Parts: sequence; structure tokens; C-alpha cells
Amino acid sequence: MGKRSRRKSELESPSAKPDPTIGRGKLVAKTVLLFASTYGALMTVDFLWGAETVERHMNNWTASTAAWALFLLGAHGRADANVVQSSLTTFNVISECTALYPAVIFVSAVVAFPASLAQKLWAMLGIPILVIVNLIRIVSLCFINRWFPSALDTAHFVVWQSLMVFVTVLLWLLWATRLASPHDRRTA
Amino acid sequence: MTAERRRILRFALAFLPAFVAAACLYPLILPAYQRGVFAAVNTLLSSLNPVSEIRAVPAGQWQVLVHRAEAARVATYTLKSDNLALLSFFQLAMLSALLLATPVRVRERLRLWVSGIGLMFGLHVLCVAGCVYGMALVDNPKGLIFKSLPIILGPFASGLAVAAWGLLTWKYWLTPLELVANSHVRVGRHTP
Repeated sequence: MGKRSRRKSELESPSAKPDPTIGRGKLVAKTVLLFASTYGALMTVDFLWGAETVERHMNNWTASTAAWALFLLGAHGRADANVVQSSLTTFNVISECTALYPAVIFVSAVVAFPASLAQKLWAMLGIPILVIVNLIRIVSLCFINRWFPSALDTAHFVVWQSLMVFVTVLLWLLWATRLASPHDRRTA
Repeated sequence: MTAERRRILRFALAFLPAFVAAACLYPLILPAYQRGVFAAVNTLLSSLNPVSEIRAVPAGQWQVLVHRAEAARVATYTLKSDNLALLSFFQLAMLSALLLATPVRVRERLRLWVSGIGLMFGLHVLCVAGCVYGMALVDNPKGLIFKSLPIILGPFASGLAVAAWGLLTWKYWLTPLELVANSHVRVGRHTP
């Protein structure tokens, strides 16, 4: 049955159960477009103006926290701007090493999802979780570099990059489905 | 635990073995995949002005050539990261794992995976072409915009992979919310 004949039969018998598929395509298209636009806009802003401001501070702050974590783990970590030195390795923190890009993906997905402003603000609690997971990533890569240097490139560029995106997706799913759970409880 | 939470848990548990398999296969298929992407990119770029192309050099780096007819010269830029291919196309392994972990029947997962790989290939072609053509247009290796263009390859492509995942699997995750959203819309339209 086509969309038009479905709507017509609904109007003729208002007591009939509404078809939940009407409007679904528009909702999805709007959400995907909003995600792409928000993500594109945030990346463009970072691309044009973020290097000297946000990225520099994020790099330095990430380096400091990584050095602190390495120090706590007995690796004598210390940071000088975005350079981290430790007994395991010395490395520069660049923007791809921070939680900036996963956070941009997460924020874009939250903004795109149909929810109230309060619910979206509540979702921002996911950003500190991303920062903590990123810190675990950096520290683990230091240990991998020390003990399994041949695996460093794969761990760095494939495994941890993918896991960061997976954690981002998981956090968003947990938040988005939590919005559905009051509906589930009412109908359970 | 709600049904949705159980589905997410199944998804997370299925992701790990799917990702291990995808990450093991990824370095093996990477050379052929890169060749395919470059062939498609160069076909696309040959119809634009200025004409540009990309090729991989034996050291693993990427070289961008820009043919400037008016100046009768060919500008060459080298993207110097040693792990550029590994970093630029890793979304293939990630998206494969995300799709294969979706809590649906196996046949449906395979269908999602095939669609996802095709979609990701197209997105990679667009990202690499965008980066190369951007470099050809800017033509200033010392400029900030020129140096920042490779951001399209890694971080930007990751966002597109997430969008591809959302586009392909939304109907397996969002059904209860759609009913709520649509019920709000229907009250407004059909209330006498």
C-alpha cells in the first residue's frame, strides 16, 4: 500500500492504529543531515581557527595529564608544553592524540538526535568519559612502545583509533536509548 | 536490565571479536584497497581543472602531482607521514566491526557489511579527492590551509564512517523513539 493511500485510510477511520512508519524517512534524513552539517561546521571551525587556540591548549593539557598518569605509574613522566618525557618513551602530543575529534563526533551525534536541550546537555557528561579513555589510550601506547615496539603502529593507528570511535558510538547509544527507556517502562 | 540495554551489551560483546578479525585482515587488504581508491580518485580528478593525481611511492608516502598547463609545470607535493595509508583507511576495519556486531541475523549483518564497505569506499574516494584537489587549488605548501588539508583523511573520514554506520543501522536501534516522535507529530496534525 502506498504512502498516500495509507494516509487516506487513516483519515477516513480515525480510530485505526496510526502507522509508525509515516514520517520515519524524514526523521532519519533530518538527523543524518544535521549530524553531517554539525560535524562539518565544527571541523571547519577547528580547521580554520582552532590550531592556535583550542588545539594548542588541548595538546598541552593532554600532555600534562598523560605525564601525570605516567608519573603515578612509576614511569617518571613529565611534560613540557606538548612534549611528554618518561622512562618508557618521549613523544609529542598532537591534536589527533587528544579526545578532541571523538568529542566532536559525539557532540555532533547528540546535537543531531531529536531530544530536548536539557537532555542534550546531560549527554555532555560523555565528554569526560572520552577524555579518560583517551588517557588510557596514551598510557597504554607508551607501554606498548616499550614492551612491544613492533605492534605500536597497528595499536596506535588502527586499534586505538577504532576503539575511540567505538566508545563514542557506545556512549551515544547508551544516551539515546535511555531517552527511549521511559517509553519502554510505560508499555512494559 | 531493559531490552535496549541488553541489545547494546550484545553489540559491545560482538564488536570485540569482529574488530579483532577486521584489524587482522585490514593490513592484508590495504594495498589493493589503496590502489582501488587511487584509481577512482585519479579518474575523478582528471576531469577537474587543474588536473591533479595522486600516487603512492615505494617508501609508503603519497605524492600529489598538479599539472599546471598555463605555467607548463608539474608541481609535486609529498604527504610525508609514514603510516598514511594505515591511518587514512582504518575506518574500513572499524566500520566493518560496527556493522558485523549489529544485533540482527547473520544474513542481515553480511548485507549491512557489503553495503557499508561500498559506502566507505565512496567516502574514501571523496575524502582523498577532496584533499588532493584542495592542495591543487591552494598551491601554497607553506600556507596553514594547505598543511591542514590532510585532516580530511583521518579525523574527518572517521566522522563520515560514523554517519555511514548510523545511516545503515538506525532502524535496528531507534524504533521505540520513532514511535514517540511520530506520536507527538500525529497529535498536532489530527487533533479535531
